[in-house]
Amino acid sequence: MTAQQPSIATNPAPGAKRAKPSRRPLIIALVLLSTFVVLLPAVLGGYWMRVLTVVFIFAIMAESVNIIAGYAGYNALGNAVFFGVGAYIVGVTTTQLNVPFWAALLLAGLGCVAYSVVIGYPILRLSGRYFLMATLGLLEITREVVLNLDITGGAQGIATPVMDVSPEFANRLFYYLALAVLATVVWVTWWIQRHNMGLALRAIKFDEEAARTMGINSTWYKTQAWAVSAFFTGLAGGVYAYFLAYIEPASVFEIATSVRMYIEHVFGGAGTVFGPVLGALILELLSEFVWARFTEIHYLILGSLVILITLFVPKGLISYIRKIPVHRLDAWVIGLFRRDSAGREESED
Amino acid sequence: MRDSRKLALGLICLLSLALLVAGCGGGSTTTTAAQDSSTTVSPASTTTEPGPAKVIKIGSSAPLTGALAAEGVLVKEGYEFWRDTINAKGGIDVGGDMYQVELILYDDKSDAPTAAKLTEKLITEDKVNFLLSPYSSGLTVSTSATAEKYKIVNIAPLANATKVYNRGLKYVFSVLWPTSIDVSNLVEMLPAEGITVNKIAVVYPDDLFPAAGAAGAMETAKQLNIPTVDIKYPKGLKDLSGVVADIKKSEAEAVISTAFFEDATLILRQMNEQGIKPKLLAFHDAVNLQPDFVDAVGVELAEGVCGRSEFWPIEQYSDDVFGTGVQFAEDITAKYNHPWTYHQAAAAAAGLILQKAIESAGTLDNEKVREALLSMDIMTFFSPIKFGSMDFQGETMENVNVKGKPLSVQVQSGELEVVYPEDFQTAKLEYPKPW
Amino acid sequence: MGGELMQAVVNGLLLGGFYAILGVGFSLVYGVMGIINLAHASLVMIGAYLTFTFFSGWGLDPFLSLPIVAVVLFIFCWLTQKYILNSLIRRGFLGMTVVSTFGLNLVLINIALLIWSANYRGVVTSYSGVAFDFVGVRLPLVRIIILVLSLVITYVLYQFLKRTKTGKAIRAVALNRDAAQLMGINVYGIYSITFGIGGALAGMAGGLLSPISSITPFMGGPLLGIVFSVAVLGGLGNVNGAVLAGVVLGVAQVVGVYFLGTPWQLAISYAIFILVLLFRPQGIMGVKFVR
Repeated sequence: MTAQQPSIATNPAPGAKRAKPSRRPLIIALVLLSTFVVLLPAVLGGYWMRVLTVVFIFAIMAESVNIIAGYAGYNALGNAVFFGVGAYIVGVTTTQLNVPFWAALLLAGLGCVAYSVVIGYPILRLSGRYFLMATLGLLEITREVVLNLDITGGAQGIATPVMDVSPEFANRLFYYLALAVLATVVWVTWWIQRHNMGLALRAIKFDEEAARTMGINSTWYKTQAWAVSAFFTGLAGGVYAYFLAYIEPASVFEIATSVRMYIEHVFGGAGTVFGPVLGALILELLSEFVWARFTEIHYLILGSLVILITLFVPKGLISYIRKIPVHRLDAWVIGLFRRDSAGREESED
Repeated sequence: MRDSRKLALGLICLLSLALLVAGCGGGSTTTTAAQDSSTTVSPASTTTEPGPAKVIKIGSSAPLTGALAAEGVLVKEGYEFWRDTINAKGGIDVGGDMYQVELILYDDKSDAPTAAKLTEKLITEDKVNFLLSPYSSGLTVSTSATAEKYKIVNIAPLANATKVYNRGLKYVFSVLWPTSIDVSNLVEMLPAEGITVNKIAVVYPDDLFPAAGAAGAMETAKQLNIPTVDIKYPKGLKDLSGVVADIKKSEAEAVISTAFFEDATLILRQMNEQGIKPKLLAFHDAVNLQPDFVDAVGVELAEGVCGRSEFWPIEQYSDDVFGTGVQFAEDITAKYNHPWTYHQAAAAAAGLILQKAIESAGTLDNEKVREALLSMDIMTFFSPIKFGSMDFQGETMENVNVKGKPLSVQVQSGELEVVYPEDFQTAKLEYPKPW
Repeated sequence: MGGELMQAVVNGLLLGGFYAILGVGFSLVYGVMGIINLAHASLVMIGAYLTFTFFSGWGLDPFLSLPIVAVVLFIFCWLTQKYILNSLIRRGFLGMTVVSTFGLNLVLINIALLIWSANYRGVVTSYSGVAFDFVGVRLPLVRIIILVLSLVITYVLYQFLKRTKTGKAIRAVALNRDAAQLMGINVYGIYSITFGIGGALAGMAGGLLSPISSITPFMGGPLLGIVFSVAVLGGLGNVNGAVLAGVVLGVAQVVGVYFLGTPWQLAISYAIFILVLLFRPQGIMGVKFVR
């Protein structure tokens, strides 16, 4: 009779629900990673903290564009428009209206939401390729408008107030701030994909007509998705404005930035929760190393690496990380600590 | 298929790791190899003394890629030339000890945030003692703000827009005089040479440095009672026919523009196409990039175009490192195999000034070196140097070189000649410009 | 002031012809294959540099070297598509091609930087400054040649697509890839040819650009905006549309500046861009290729 038990445990009766893979490896990994990242500033110098802060900012933007592009299928190549708007809202309100930084940051996020909703009304109606182009056009025209307004300082830009704290403190502040926003947007993404909204977006991406026929209000969901995307991208811009202490239209409304964050989300894995963060991390750090080390040929090396990686890892980096037999690894680790009465290792699930 | 994919992934991981290791290991003590010349790469040249040489680390960024790359490379050459010259002479004398100069230079991609970032890197990671600024006011605005946070002296060879120096920063010093004076020189030249024009069209893109220069020109013109026409245009335009149409509409006999190289050559070409022929045409910034300017527009079109030069080889200017200005020009031309430019000269001068300040202070302490700079009053191959304040349109600029004199030049037969002020003149001003 | 307005219109037309050739290659590639070629502007830059090299090395007139530049870039792009981009499309990763072209863009810029350095280059021909006065309007010779050649090239392209077997195959693939395949068309071969043509067009645009602009490795960036605008306005994949779009954009820009002043020059282009996208996303002339 005892011989029966293991077989039931390992071969469930036909029709029975398959056991879900344990979440434990993921949670352990996340906890370890978070601890690592939170403690990092204790050992890092100012320069690397700043580098990582910028990486986090790009990760926020990649993760944000993922919501509208990776999940909903609306490829907003020009999403950096919200980065610029967010940066300028913070810039203008803190210098002209004496709004405190934290309030300005919130305003930046909300302002971008408003912008995305208003402009989304006509633009989200466009399909695929046209939406993509429209967002690029939006980026460019917003830049031109900002450039020509007086309140934004035009081409001379805005110098945001320098905080009266030591450089070390300031570096840490921005590091944790960016990290916090990043954690939030990742969590929001995770939440979305677990609930109805995620389902709706995936349906829209797959076939919007069919989704509408099934009663999914695609306009509502698309607008929400873009609004969320805009909110966080705007926050990233706001943080950046203070971080850099100087913004100008040409640098915050840059096509290169917009393309980069879009590519990072594709690179890491569009439509996944952690993919864009990974993509941003890898691409930004890689580009940092290459630039520092191979000054004259850094573009050549970076470009070649990008081409090679897309050829060999086209599904996005995260898909290959998933392939690592984490469950076997996890089971093995657990097994090290547990033995059943027969002296054999108990397997998980 | 699966296996080959895994193999490829593995290879890429290995490759990336190798790069990472190469990137982390070895510290940050090498300078980058010269881009298109054959200078030596060794940062610390061997001395005849036994034992390890003491080293001063000097950090800098230069735009080696991006929109300012052409000029950035010249600045790098200037810095390296100074480093090689001074190291060959034994190094810098710091209170009796000889220190070799190690130059740590990175590419800031003509991007201000990148320049700020690598300034931070130079200070916190590479732990440099002092800084030399990148080319252009736009980049220096960023780097000087970062250097100020850490209270590190930074010398700017080629950043003379008002905004860099009117923010009350204490650690940045300009080799040059303010840009407003530069362009004013061109305006002053007119009455000085006995020329009267109906008005001057001042053409400039909406950008930090050009706008500052344009403001200077218009102010001077106002004082000399010459009417001006303000023609401002957005930067980044690929087609300037609108600007050229405005110039035509103004019917100005003199056109002075503070646009950068690309715009300047485009304006010149489009003016020619449209048949607009002012009697005086001056480009504040493009003309002195030779032979690029003449190559870009052709010898005929370039003939008679005026500009300014921050540097000219002059016998009367000399110092104990580079010799006379003429000597410097010869040496650097020979070394880099192309005609000297003022970018190289200003950069070398920046290095020289820093060196003199260190030697005068007798220490590597930034505060003392800063004080030495404030009390400096010397002659160099480049120009006399004394740092002080200047007022312009109600704003005070600090730490600018108050003793430097800009020179107005003109292209004659494909070569640059100094035409004003007369004590440095190498040729007479050709007026009106032949078209 | 009618004369000045006329001049503005003429300037716009001349500029527009050039805008057309700049964007048509990108439009073709995007329309037929759905590939966003972020390296398009750098290909233009390479074309300009090649022209410069032929001019300064062998004294070859920039307009005469156009065929050579076209062939060189065709081969380069054909190979790129064949070995890199097709591989991605075959495996179903069309979305990744934009990342690849991003990488390619960086590589091209660096190669140009290494070969030609960052110094500004230019092509100055003996007839650079020649212009005609016609009915009170000034017509620079070089710009007229550029306009004429742009029109000729796009006309040839149009005829190629309409009448030749390969051209029809390209259109078939764009309309319905699977049906085309069933009809025996080698779809991936067509992709390679199309990308090659896109590159050749970019290279020729670069050659045409060389007499009127400074050449640097970074000159591509500012051109992208125009490229996108022309492609969208004209309808993706639509050759005639690209011509019309270029002209409309050019004229609108210059004439717009005439009325509104220079600061608004770029804003005008983008405003048109967005308005067209909103009200007629298929472009002025409609998309020829339905995707």
